[in-house]
Amino acid sequence: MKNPIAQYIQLVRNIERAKREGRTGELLKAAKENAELQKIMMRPRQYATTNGTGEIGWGTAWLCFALSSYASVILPASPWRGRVGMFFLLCACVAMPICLWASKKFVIQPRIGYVAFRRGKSWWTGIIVGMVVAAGISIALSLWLIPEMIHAAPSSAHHAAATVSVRDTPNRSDKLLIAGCGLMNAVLYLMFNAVSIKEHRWKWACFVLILVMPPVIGQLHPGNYLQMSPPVMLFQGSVYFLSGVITLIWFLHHHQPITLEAE
Amino acid sequence: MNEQLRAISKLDRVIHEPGRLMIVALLAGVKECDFLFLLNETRMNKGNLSSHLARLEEAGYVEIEKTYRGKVPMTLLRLTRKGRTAFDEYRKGLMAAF
Repeated sequence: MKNPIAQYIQLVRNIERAKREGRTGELLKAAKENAELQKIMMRPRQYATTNGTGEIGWGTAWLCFALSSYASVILPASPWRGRVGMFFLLCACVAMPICLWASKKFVIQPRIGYVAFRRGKSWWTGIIVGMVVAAGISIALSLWLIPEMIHAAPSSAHHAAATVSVRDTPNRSDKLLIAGCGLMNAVLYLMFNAVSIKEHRWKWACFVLILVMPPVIGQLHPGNYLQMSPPVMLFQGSVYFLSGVITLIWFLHHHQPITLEAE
Repeated sequence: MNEQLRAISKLDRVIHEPGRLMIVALLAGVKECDFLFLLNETRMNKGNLSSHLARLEEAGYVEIEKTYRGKVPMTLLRLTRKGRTAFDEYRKGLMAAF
């Protein structure tokens, strides 16, 4: 149990041994019982992923990123424009933790009861590896994108300070990045809904939309990556958010609050 | 076959009972939970669950802490180190038995 891979190897070895000794049925019975135990152990964690609040949090974050981008375009030039943009960025950063906290306090706890999960070594390893990988990808993308996006304009004798012009037509890298963004969000959507998608078949349609629409939006809204990304973020955020809201409504409908004095 | 029977007889009787096995399996997946959560998950009645928990506490597998959430009493339950080890051993024993 501490090392699932080692356990799995042991299980395979045992199956092989049992096959040789002609007692597969007995072993399969034990394996089934063990799998049932594993299922019971994992059940509490499923509540955190089946009530839709994760999707709402992620969707809100994307919507805030999109609004932050739009704020700098739509609002008139003033000191407030930057502050509004920053406010939405801040909202994007805190959306997920706030949604998860609210989910635990107002959705799971009154309906399922209080439960706290273990933060073991593997959990921290996952967090650290995830952060390192995310930082690596961000740095690599920045190094790739900045020279692609910005072309130094020929500086004249009258303009000593360097001016820059931003390319406004999509090239292959832009299209690739937009498609990659769709793919990443689609995979993440599947991860969010690994448990609930069996029950909510309509989520496959959302998955396809999240995967397919970014390149389509890129075609309809030509520009460089930075110009294409706000509508893509707006769309993906909306799909995530709506999917989360529908799931939450379904969850609340099927899990009535239980009395606190049941003890 | 004798070896198999020996392995089965070695299984921890406290955990082997289906109701307690379910409780221990649920507690093994979390850090701690309240009585209400277990009641909801196991679908046992309060008396049954209480008696199973008392048996597990007696064996030193479960730690029971009476506390309050606001003004509402809450019973927190968690598996002790001994309980986790016993559950690990039980699962290994189960696999070895067959």
